[in-house]
Amino acid sequence: MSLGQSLFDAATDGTYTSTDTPTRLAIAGLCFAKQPKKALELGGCEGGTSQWLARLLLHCGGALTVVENDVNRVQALTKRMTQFPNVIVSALDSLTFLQMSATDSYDFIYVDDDHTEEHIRQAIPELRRISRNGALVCFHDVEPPSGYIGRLCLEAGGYLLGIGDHGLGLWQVAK
Amino acid sequence: MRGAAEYASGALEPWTCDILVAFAHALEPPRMLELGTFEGMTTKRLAETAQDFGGHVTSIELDYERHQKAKRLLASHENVTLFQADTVGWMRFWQGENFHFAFVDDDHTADHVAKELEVLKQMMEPGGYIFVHDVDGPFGLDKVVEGAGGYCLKLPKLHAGGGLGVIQC
Repeated sequence: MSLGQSLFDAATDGTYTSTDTPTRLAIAGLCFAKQPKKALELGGCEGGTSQWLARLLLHCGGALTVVENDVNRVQALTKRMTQFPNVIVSALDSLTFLQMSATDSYDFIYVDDDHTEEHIRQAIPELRRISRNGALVCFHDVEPPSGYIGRLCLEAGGYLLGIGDHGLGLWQVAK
Repeated sequence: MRGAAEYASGALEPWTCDILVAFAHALEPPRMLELGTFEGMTTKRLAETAQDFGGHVTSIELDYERHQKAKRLLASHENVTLFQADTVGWMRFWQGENFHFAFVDDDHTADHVAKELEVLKQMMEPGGYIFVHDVDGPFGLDKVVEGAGGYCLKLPKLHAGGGLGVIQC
């Protein structure tokens, strides 16, 4: 199976998102290679990134849960996601969502929500818990490497890629 | 994005090839290097991707028959240069410009790959990406890649080895 043209279409469809195109392309390649059945996005914002992730997951038979707790953003996000049968929107604080989620649930997680150090520090053990063995967790905004998102990704056992405008953290969860 | 991955026994898994192509599109590297052309299938996809941004692929293969087969496959691709040579020897004599993107998939013995990475890192542009195939399996290449400052991803396999290592220089 090959992603081929659909990868390019999904990642470069011209929709404005907070995730730049090079980062989207890298995530698309990694996500498709994992063939996730269940994927999670923390910080859906208004759904620009969710839209292409949903499209990508449709190609590999995967479902996406998008978490966003800002009321105004949730409305726009939900409206945008109505076209995707494989998406569930959760209007919860992401830490609450993580704590409520079952262990070993997800194969792929994209983290782009609350960027405060305390939030990320609390989220990482929960991310580990809800990930299946071998799940890939991608962190946006890890640049600069000296910043705490990058540092916490490294501390968790991940790796930082200087790609796009804000970098990408990779962490494959081993259990 | 042009083309779609095909698979031949012994070649790169299609999904791993997709990752390389995705990163090539993302990074738009002007100069790409492949160590281990095999029969040229990955080379072809990288070359077709590179056509979109004016990039060039240089690929090295030790085996004469494989090199000839790749030459036939890539005859119409003007942005590819193929060499039949030992990879480490070739790199030591390389007089051209540094590379922005490299893919390592030739002799999988740990000592060879360690030596390769040592030389290759000297000919990469700062921030350039090195990808290494078969880091998950019986070859012990995960330790080599991690020792070179990289990270190893476990991916679905088609044979004993698989996975992809990444090193950002």
